[in-house]
Amino acid sequence: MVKPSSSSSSTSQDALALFNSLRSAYSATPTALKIIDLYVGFAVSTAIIQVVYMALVGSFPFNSFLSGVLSCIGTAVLAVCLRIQVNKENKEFKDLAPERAFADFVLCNLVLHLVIMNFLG
Amino acid sequence: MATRTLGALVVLLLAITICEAASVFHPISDSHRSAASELFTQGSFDSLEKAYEALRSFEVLGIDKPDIRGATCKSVVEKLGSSESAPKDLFYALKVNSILKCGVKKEVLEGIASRLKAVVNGASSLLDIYYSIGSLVLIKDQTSEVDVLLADADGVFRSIKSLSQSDGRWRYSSDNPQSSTYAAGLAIEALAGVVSLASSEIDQSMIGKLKRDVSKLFDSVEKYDDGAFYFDEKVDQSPLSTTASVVRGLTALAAVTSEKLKVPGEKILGLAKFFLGIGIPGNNKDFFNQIDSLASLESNKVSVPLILSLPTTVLSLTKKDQLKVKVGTVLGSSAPPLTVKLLRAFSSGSKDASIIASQELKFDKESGYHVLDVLPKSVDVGSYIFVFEVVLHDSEDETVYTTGGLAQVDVFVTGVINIENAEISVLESDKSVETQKKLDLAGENAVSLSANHLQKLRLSFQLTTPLGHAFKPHQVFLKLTHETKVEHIFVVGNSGKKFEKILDFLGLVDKFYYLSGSYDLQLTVGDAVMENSFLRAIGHIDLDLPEAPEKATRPPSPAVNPLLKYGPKAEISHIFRVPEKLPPNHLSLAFLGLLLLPLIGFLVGLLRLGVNLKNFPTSAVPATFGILFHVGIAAVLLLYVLFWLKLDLFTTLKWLGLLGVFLLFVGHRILSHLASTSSKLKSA
Amino acid sequence: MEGSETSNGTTLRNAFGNVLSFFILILIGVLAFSIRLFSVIKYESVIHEFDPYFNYRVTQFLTKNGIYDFWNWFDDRTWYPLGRVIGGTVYPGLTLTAGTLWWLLNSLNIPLSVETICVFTAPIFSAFTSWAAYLLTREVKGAGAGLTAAALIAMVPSYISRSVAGSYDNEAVAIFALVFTFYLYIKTLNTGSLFYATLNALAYFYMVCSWGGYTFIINLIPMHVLMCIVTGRYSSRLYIAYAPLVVLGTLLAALVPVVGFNAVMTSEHFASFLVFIIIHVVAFVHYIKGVLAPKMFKVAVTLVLSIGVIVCCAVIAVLVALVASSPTKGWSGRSLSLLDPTYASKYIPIIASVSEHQPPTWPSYFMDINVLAFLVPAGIIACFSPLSDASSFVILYIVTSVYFSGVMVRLMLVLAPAACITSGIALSEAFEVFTRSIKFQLPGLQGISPVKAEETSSDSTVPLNEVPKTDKSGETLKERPSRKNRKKEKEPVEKPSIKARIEKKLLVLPLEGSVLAIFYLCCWVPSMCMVHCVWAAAEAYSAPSIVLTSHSHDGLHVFDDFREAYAWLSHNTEVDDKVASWWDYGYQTTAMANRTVIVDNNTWNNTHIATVGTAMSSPEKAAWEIFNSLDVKYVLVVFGGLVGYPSDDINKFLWMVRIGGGVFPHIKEPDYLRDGQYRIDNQATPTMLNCLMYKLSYYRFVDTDGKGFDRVRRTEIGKKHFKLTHFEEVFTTHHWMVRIYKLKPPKNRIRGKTKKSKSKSTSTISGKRSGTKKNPWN
Repeated sequence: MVKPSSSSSSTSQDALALFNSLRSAYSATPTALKIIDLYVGFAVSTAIIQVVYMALVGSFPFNSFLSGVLSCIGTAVLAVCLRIQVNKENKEFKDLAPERAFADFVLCNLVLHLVIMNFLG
Repeated sequence: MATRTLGALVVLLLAITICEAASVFHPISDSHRSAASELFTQGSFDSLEKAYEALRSFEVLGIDKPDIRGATCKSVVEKLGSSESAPKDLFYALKVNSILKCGVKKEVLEGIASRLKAVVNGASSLLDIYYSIGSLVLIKDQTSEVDVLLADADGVFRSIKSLSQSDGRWRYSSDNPQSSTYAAGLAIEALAGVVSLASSEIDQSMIGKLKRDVSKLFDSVEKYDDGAFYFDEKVDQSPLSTTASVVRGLTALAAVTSEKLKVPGEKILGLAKFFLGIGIPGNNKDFFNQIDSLASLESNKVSVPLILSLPTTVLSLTKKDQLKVKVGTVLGSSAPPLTVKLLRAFSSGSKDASIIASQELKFDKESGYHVLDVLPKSVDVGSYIFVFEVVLHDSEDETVYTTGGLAQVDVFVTGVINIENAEISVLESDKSVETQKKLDLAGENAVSLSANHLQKLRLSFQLTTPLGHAFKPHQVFLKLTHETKVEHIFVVGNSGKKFEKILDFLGLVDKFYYLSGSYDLQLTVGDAVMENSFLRAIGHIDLDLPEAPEKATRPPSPAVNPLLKYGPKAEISHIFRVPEKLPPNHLSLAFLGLLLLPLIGFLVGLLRLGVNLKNFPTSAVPATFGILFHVGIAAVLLLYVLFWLKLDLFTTLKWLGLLGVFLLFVGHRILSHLASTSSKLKSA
Repeated sequence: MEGSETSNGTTLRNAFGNVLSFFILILIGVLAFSIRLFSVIKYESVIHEFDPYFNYRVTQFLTKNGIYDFWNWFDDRTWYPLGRVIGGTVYPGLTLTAGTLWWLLNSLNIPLSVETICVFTAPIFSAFTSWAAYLLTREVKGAGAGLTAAALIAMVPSYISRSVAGSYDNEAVAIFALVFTFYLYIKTLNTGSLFYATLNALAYFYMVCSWGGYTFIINLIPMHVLMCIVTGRYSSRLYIAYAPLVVLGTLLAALVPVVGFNAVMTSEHFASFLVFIIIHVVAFVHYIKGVLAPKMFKVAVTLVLSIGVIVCCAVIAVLVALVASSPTKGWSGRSLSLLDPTYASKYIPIIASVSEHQPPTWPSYFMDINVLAFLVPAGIIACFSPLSDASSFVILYIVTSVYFSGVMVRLMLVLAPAACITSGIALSEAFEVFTRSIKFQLPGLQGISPVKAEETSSDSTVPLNEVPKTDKSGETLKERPSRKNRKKEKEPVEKPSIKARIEKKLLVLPLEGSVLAIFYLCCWVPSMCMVHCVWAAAEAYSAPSIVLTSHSHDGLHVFDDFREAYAWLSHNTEVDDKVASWWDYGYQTTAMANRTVIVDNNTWNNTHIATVGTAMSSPEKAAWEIFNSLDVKYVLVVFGGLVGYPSDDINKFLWMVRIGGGVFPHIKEPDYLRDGQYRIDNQATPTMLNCLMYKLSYYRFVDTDGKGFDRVRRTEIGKKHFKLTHFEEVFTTHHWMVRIYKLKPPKNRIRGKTKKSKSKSTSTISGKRSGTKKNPWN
């Protein structure tokens, strides 16, 4: 939700209208999805901070940097996948139980972080 | 560098002058004794053969034996005692016994004797017979009461003789055709043993045959140009051991035969010279062969060689050295009364007329030298060949000793060469002297000249011997060295007494690589008999030569110092990766804190959204499963942390498998429960 | 006909079909395994050509010293004096697989030698490959096509050529990994479950471990994603299939030492990142589209798209900057030669010198995938009706792989599965059409084809098996969608059933034609193909180039010279002697003779190889100096002139000259060519006749037959009688195929002698000399 808000500051009226409609639309989303979105935002911002740090001091322990950023991005991506799957509006996954989706999500995260830990050295 | 080559040249020339023509042989001296005592160390007594060689050498040289009697005797006794020791072992054991006198019981010897006789009668190979006969002879020498006499001496004699070849050499056994001189030596010694062991007289015809063989053998003797004779073996034996074996055989045979063997005395003397000429051999075997055969030559019945030796062959005219000659046996014991004549002496270059009249050397009792106190006036600096004659006083010594007639010795007479009117000068192209400097070649000079490429440099001096004759040294070199270490060496030629060298720079500019600047001059005059040889810097000359045309040859690069070339190389310094620079700590910590912000934001957001645990199961069983599920996940994450900190991959995977099964189980339970509730919820 | 059948009958037939297809799969696996055993039967159970020997050696090391020593194994037996870090420079997948197999079997108390495992790894994995192909094709076009594709891939010659028993090379497992990764990708794409996405990443990890060809995957999948997006087929399943794959896959790939940071640094991987960003933008757009009202969306699109475009431009600029900054534009030589077929021959002679990096010829296409070459277009057409994500992926796969195989012969291997899949689809589709038309012609005959199915499926030859199988495919294809419909509503898969009904109306062919066509399709073509494949497997592709045979009028000749030579080396040379040969024989020398080599088949150091090439193409003395500076003791050359073994060092010699000349300019190729052609007869240039390789190859060759006739070059050699001054021949094998030379030691300059030896010398001399001699003693 970062981009539209940031752009809205710079642009004109309809952008504001867009922003309002966005907010209204978003407020309709159930809490679980909001939590996931929050989680995604958390992960992405962490990744961004790390990238900034790398840009400042250089990427010497490159594997640490990679694992840090990629773990954040990975968790974000996985969370997005989870969100897509448990989303009620999404008709593709009607028959996929959200619990099943959550189990997959947990498994995927575990694998991801095993790799991360291994790569962290 | 050039000086080094010159030095090498001098040494080489000296070596040649010594080597050519007749050289001097010195009898066995204390140098041999010291060499023996350091050659035969304790390690050289481990086998009886070695022990014998060492002991024999010590005995001959008159050194008191090291204290190895106990151990050696012990091994001797047990060798002799054991019934299956080979003839060779017995042979050496008995030889050691004959030196060390370790009391061996007579029964033992009898047993050995009987065994050996059986061997002798049965044996076909020369070596067996040799060792057995030798052993029997030794037993005979050591004890009288053991019966060692051979019943069938003639048969044994023939069986050995049947191995002889037409040229006087022998075969090792009847079935190998290879004939060798070494074997001949052994065979002759064995035959001598047979003769000495014969119970009845061997018939003289066979002994005559044997003597003919010996003389045939001596026809095949080889000769060095300095009068040294030796026997050579094409296969597997060095000349030394071959000659030694022949000498042993010869002396043994001469010891047992009634009348003299007819071997020319100069060959005996040649053999002696050969052994003496070896100097001091490097290993025990050679040393023993040399000493042993010299000892047997010392006391042989054919003819004892007398060696004429000079303590020094370099006589200095300035120090008024006397010519000393010593005549003695090979082992250095004194000779019977005799007189030494200096027949002639002529310079080694020209074999023409003698320069001195024949005269007698007078014998000096206490030193044992024959001395010619003053050299005749006619002897000048140079290298000469003196011819001596040794005359024995009483005639029956003639039969015992051999002096080899005339002895040629080359002698160096050194003296101070005087150098006169040496001068160096720079000439114009038209021979007119531009600058001229006198040189004192006896002392230091530092002349400084300067010339251009149109001028010439002339160096001239005179060399005369004490008697005023012209003297031509081996080396007269003039060396010019540029500052850039480029060297040019010129040979200074002579006409009569006058030595002169003219360097025409005009012709030499190319040879000098057009290098202008100061050249150091160095004069070398050297000879073996010149006591005041010198290698002397005589100043420098500044040349200014024309500019080099582009096609001129470049001066050679200065010769690299061999120490740099072959010496240790410079150590390789390894380059390691420079460690990456790490950011300052506070910055990192600041970012760590910054990283906490999103987390806080996350938590705050959770609170604002109101995180709902409402569909966390309320009933007991699923709740426990739910708790277990979260605990499981926490455990896995903890395991990851451990893996990061210390564990290795495989242990991690093992634990992960266990946790995974557990997690799967509880997760399935809780999630299925949730699903059912939610579906119920939906249906309801 | 679905309508005519009761549901339980349908389920029964499904169960029956599943069981049947299961057994058919087993049979296909057996076929795939057994058709690759010709090499063992005809020759023996031996490791084949060059690289397999290195893999075999590495596997031995792994099984002996364990995994950790393997990871940091510094091998000092090769690339003397540099050595090579094996653990960091090999693709460990194959080795680890075989090692795990060995470990499993031994822990089950089945004592098999490492060599046996290595020999049979490839056939086992080819069976796996056929199953993976079945799964993949089933995901695309139903079980019938899957079974056909599996049967085809089990016996396609170009895959057999790389996976006969004993060819223990990376491709053996890599192809399985490739197909399986694609299967999981398609599976994830169809189901859209994170679970399969994880598996997909793991399979990709295995592929990265196994083969450098993983870049094909990591470029092909983004291409497909991009294509889907462009053609407006974006779905959130696509996102789930792709985004986790990129993140996880990149991380996992970075775990493999040989890849390491290249997974994010080199531009083979940049495409995936670019598409990663694009798909996020697209996903975001879709999300917005979902939540917003259309008119608002109009506004949003402008904003979002503008920002997205800006971001994309920025990223592209960054990427371009990176690529431009890195040397060789960030692409490794082999990849560049993929894009530009003439690149290698222009710039990297080493890559060009490998025969399997050359572009293939048309006959090789027919040889390697004979009938499939004609079925592929039909398959592509079949994929277009209907076009689903999966089938579009297959189309993309076949097209790209055709291009790559056109660039490099060895990539024929990547083409093979694609060709099999498409032609399997084609066969089954056509078959479905014909069977249906028959059934329509005579409804009474319905029972026949299943009956025929039973009695033909009992015997095990595959082409006949296709009858029931494809017959089943008729149903399964029609059943699956219905089942899918029951499971989940899926528009793209909804289509085929409808399409099928429509087709049934349209496509009604005359009876005889269809019967003939079925006969042709199911018996004639496959059996022809079968015959060809078996012939190829038996004759063409199962020769282990280490043992050679030749049929002549007086029977069979076996040339075992290589092993003879290596055994000689291992028995008659010091343990730390260095053996120099052209790099082809490096692996074998280290593996079989256990001697240190200078260069080997892992051509990572061009200069080092060029040094050896220079030595081989220099005159004897210069070569001796080069070898001596490398501390070489023995030189090994392979020479086929006596028995007519064409791939010997003389035929490779021009490459030595080129590679050497590439680094050391004083070696010039024209010096070795007489007006442009390469010859070794008396017309050859003096440089050629004096170079080391010529001398070592033809030394004493004239002694064999009076005139030195080279059976490979079919000419008499130019220089017949010559001597070697710096090398001495120490061993030549029975058929002269391998010749080993020893470097003579340098000449002594100081003649030092002790007194004793001096006495010996004089004694020997004095024998010859007559008259008086100088006494050596003083």
